[in-house]
Amino acid sequence: MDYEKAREAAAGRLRICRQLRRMIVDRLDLPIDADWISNDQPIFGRGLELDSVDTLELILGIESEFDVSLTEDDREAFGSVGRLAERILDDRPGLLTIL
Amino acid sequence: MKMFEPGAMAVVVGGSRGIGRAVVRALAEEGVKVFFTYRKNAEMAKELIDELQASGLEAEAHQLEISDENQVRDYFRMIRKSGMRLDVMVDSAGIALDGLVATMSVSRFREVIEVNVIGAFLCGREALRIMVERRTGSVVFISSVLSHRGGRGQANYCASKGALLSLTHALALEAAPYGVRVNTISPGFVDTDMTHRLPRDSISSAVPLGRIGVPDEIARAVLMACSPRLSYLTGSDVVVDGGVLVR
Repeated sequence: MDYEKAREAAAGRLRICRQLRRMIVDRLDLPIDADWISNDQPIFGRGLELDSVDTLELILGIESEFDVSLTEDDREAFGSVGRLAERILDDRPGLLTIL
Repeated sequence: MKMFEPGAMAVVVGGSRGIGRAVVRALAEEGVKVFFTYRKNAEMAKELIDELQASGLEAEAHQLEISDENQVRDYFRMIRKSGMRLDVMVDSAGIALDGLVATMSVSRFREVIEVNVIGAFLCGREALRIMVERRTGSVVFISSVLSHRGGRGQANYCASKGALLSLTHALALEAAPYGVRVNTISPGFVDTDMTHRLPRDSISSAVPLGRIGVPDEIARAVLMACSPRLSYLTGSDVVVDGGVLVR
């Protein structure tokens, strides 16, 4: 991958992460600014302290916004916004360029 | 008062034959837009669509193997992406492969569980994901009186239909906070392909009402269970068996 393509891919990942952060805040009605969430911050546990009901909301949001269907088999992807973005890109690599 | 809101949409899984076929027709007659699936018999599916069209009604049919996770996911994804609402999902797909437990192979037991239980789980999960977004909807699984009592030579079928009751209980609890209702209908002896090999006179003597049921009689119960008019019904099993169970 040449430098330009790598830069484009990195920018695409950041766009997806930004969209995910905004989706998390909107769908879960979190009283924080989306930019306060970092891409490597844990989403569950001591991170954003989300529960199983929130997981369903996130799964539905990801399905609706990215057309990617996740289940508990993908629990590792919920480790952080960055990992979620990678998981989404596994299914939809074209999102790097079309978003 | 109409049974369904204008513009209501339903998916009937296993809608080309038997009880599912009657449910498709009954929903279409109530003005519901119906998508139904069939496993193998495209001809019967087309025949049903033609029948409905002749009465000025509409439905759409798709082939679906409900024990295949990817197929089920793609089918409901197609519905979601088309922007259609989903008010009702009825799972009427089921198979029976009878045999005595002592001689039954695991594959024969498993095949029934794959279609009747895993299929119901997959369709229920995907329908729920769409319904939760609108905070409304109704799921109905077609179980059987054999979920309540034994059937000699039908251990796999009985186990699968009993599992549907338990699935319904759990799913009803999970879906309730989102305004989605989940119920089962448990038919007794009904005149379908599945019961054609059974002697009619023995059925008549086993049923307090003295006769075998017809698919339309089950379809009417399904319609009631999934109609918004029965908005307080969830986690329930409605037995429609001519009195077999209380005999």
